[in-house]
Amino acid sequence: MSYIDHYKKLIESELKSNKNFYFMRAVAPGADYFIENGFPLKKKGNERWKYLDLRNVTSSNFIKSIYEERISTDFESVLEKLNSCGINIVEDEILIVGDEDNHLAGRNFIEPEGIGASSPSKTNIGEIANPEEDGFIALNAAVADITSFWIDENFSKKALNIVFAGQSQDERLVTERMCIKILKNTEVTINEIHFDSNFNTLNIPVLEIHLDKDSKLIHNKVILGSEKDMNFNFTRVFQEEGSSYQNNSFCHSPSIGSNDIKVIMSGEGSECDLRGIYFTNNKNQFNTHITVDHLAPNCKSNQFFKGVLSDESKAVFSGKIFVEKGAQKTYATQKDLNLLMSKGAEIDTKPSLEIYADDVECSHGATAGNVDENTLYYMMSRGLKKETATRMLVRGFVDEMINSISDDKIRKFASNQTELILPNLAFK
Amino acid sequence: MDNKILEIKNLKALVSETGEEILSGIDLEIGDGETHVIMGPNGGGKSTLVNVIAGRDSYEVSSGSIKFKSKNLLNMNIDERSREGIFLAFQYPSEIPGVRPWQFMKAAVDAKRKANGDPELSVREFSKIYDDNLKKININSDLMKRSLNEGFSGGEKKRNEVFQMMMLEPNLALLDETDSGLDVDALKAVGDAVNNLRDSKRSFLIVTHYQRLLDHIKPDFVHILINGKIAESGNSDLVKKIENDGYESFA
Ligand SMILES: Nc1ncnc2c1ncn2[C@@H]1O[C@H](COP(=O)(O)OP(=O)(O)OP(=O)(O)O)[C@@H](O)[C@H]1O
Ligand SMILES: [Mg+2]
Repeated sequence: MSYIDHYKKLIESELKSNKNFYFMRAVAPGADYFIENGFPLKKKGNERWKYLDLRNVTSSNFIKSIYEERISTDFESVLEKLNSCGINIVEDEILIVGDEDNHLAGRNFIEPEGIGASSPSKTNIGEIANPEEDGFIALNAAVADITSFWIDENFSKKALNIVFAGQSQDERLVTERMCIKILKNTEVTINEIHFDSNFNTLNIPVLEIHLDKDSKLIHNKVILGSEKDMNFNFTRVFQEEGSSYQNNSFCHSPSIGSNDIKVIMSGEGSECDLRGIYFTNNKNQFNTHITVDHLAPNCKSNQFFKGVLSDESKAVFSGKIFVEKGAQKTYATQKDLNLLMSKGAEIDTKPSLEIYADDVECSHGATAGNVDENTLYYMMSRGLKKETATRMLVRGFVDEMINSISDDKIRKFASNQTELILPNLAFK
Repeated sequence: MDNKILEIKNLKALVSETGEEILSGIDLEIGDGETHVIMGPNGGGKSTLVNVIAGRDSYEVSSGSIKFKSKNLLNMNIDERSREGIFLAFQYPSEIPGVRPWQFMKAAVDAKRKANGDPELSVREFSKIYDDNLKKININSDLMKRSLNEGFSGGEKKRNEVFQMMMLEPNLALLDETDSGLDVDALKAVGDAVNNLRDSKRSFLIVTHYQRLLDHIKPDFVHILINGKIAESGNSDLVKKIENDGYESFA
């Protein structure tokens, strides 16, 4: 039985059990696309994934994890870890994905003031994250666990933590889908945290975010992968006029995975600022894939990512800036800087610009280098051991990204995680 | 009291990568508390000499020996040499993004104290010494909120080198053109800093192109380094000879 047949059966059984007519609208195209195309394994013409070895994705027939598995002890320990790093989980700051029988297609939802469940009839799943864009997104759409909600001004200036806890069994497929609408004039922070457990699991979370006029979202994303799991993380954002989207990603690579962000700047005068750091080690492979579509005039976008690569790991950065014909006065920048800690580590950076407007200002640049020998010598000449000096240098490199995280708790959390990651990097 | 802090014998050194010989047999002895000055034409090997003493591994010592406090220096790593009491003020100090001067110096001072079996300084004790020294060398403390040396002017970098020397209190300070690019006030501040640190336990090896530094710091010995060899040694009178005749008369 081919892996596609396996998922076909899974999709069919999901379709049978899912009685909600409205969600079906989105599920069907995903199902069709996936059954036809499967995962994006082909190298030819496959710009997004061709640098990664995706074979492991089909090495097991993953089955859907059931919710009980997910909130077991692992979830508790995640909360504890967060607490110990200074994140106080206040009841109304957490969204817990819950049990089977409620109106959110099987989600139990704690609704703090200013946040409400969107009705299925008003939730257009797949509207922003097109299932035909990618096999992973398609599979997610076909068998998604859907949570759909809006946030309004009553939640302004607050932070919502969304914690994706580790799974507790091998060969599980996790396909969370969240559709989030930030209503007009609302200004919020969302902290999306993925704590992957050390099991052979295939995580494909997809967040669809719609920013209404003049709203502002700071989206902090933390992916803490493990040696065994796979995590293909997608964020799809749609921006209306005058809205602002900020993404700060902190990724410690899973065995294989991605941080895949696409921002559609559809409204005039909107801004987005995408930043992040990725650490890769062992033989892990991690893809940072960023797309910004400038569809309206007077928009400003910024992409700034850094990578620290050790051992025989591999990272890919592909950043795309697309400027539509009418999107005059676009200002778009892109930068990707990489620190290679060992000879075996590999980075592929592929910037791409596609510009159809004439009055635009775009810049891009990428670098990859080893720890600078002169700098190391300078530091050692002050009495610092080589490891101490190297760690300080890497820390300095990383800090620029961490310091731009505006949420205090997440910044501290990322900083502490960095301290845990650094000693494990091989300095060669 | 005829102790030698540094004894260099027939030192030859090459560029590791190419094998090109830069130092072709240097003999130099520095006694406790002495101040030596090295002058010489561009490319003569002055920086190479002080970097070989500091332990830079892009150079390879092909023959000869260096002893520091009677120990074989060539067996020690760069950082060990520093903790033993060698300090090099760089001709071109590195800019280190993301690393704060305070944090850097605290780590350096602690590393040295630890090697000597002394306890780490508390943040408070350290900060006091740090602030005092900044004031002495007249560095604006706002500057030190940036990343180390990043965006520092040439002169500010040099002052910062001297500041680090004051913090680490070495037994042998190697100053590689620390006076180049300094304004008159900075030059005086550097001169004062060196003079304040001069005592029977501390020696200096100062590389310079200009007599004006020697108006502030009176050296015990002056050496002229040409083509990887010391062409002549003497006292301050040598400097006047250079000013009048240039280096050609020594070649
Ligand atoms: N790492 C290196 N690789 C190749 N050549 C080198 C290297 N280091 C030094 N040299 C060469 O060795 C010679 C001496 O250089 P050095 O920097 O020691 O001179 P210097 O006396 O300090 O000159 P200046 O007065 O200009 O500072 C020069 O010809 C220089 O090009
Ligand atoms: Mg020099």
